[in-house]
Amino acid sequence: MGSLIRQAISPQTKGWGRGVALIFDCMVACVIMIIGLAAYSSLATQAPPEPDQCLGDYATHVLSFLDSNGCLARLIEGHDSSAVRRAIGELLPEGASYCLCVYSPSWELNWSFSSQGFDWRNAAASSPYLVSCESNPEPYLVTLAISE
Amino acid sequence: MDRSVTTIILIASLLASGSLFASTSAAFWERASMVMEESAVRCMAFQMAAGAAEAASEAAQSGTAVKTYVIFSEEALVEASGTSITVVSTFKGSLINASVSLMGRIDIQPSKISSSSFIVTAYPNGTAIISVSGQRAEGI
Amino acid sequence: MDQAFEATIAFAIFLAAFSVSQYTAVAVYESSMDRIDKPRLEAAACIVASEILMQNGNSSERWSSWEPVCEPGCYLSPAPGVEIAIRATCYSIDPSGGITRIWIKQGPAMHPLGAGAQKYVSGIVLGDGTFVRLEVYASDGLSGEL
Repeated sequence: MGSLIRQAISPQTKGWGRGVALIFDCMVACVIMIIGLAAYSSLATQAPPEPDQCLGDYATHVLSFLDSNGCLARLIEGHDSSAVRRAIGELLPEGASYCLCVYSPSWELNWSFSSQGFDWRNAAASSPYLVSCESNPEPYLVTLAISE
Repeated sequence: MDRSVTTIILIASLLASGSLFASTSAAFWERASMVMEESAVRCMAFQMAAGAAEAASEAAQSGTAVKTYVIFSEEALVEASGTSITVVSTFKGSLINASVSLMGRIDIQPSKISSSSFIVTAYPNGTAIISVSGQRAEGI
Repeated sequence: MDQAFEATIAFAIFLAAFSVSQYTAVAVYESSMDRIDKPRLEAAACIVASEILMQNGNSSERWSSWEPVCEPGCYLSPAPGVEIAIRATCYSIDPSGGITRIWIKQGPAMHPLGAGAQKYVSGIVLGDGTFVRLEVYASDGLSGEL
């Protein structure tokens, strides 16, 4: 195949010897090998990192802390997303992004928000956390997902 | 010098250097695969110890028994006693083992199990048991 | 074309191909070792964090008097080539949802983020209602300053 390519791209090589033909074949083989390696390495580096399982457990601890004095219920009830953003942003490790989702008991999404840079592909989520509000007899289900 | 002699010397030197390169490469990769296998077994011992420590920590926090699953890509023999965990794996017929000891307050019940998936059950008093689902750990 | 010139080109191509193959082989070996080593460092960080959490529990007094010891031999053995860095941060929350940082303890460096360091993060709600975030970084000591 290399010889065919050589003839197709440079007709003046017809007069060259077998050694040159072999050299061109080797060059084509090297180019194909290098292109393959480059494609493989670019794919390998672009693959998203696996989610860190400990972040899911940490997210559950964060929710239980925010709920410890009823703050989470008040913030959810008042739809005060800026206060929730500030609180969660303060508690997360450096460089982490998050997505908070609030569901009804039948798992219908009530509202959610995510910080800049959040990526579901490498995110670890907390266990569903039950939050009871005074105004609503039915509890909310809250999940917090963290990605790095 | 005669052209045929030059050709013979060239071919001989090519063959010699090729075989030397092949044997050196083979020795290097054999050693490399051995080192990688030793690292993999050491990693398994660390993962098992981490599973025990994590389960014990969660059990101490929650006050209830906590189960954690530790799954390896291949079958290995796990021996545990006190604070020490040893993982033994076979590689090309030879046994490779690695041990990790935990310096904290954790007491792993003696067990000796061969499997690829393990359950670590930890209790709030700091004890932990390594077992396989559907199989009792055999005491040492 | 001159045979000597052909031979030179052939030798140059051989050298290039040989260098590429050797470079690829070494890169594959190093990436395999890294892939094997990463879970070991993650596990080491997990062991250290778990032992600190077991040691201090949810007692705010114990956490207040605790100082991070960054010697891996205090938590696991053997620990050849494992370097660790610890950072613990304590937060309180007021009724309006405002978060206040009470204290931070870390060692050995102010910026414990080495290039190849693996991190384990855990949290615990203490008995007095405060929250401690514990971050443990484990590195093989070759990938930059911890």
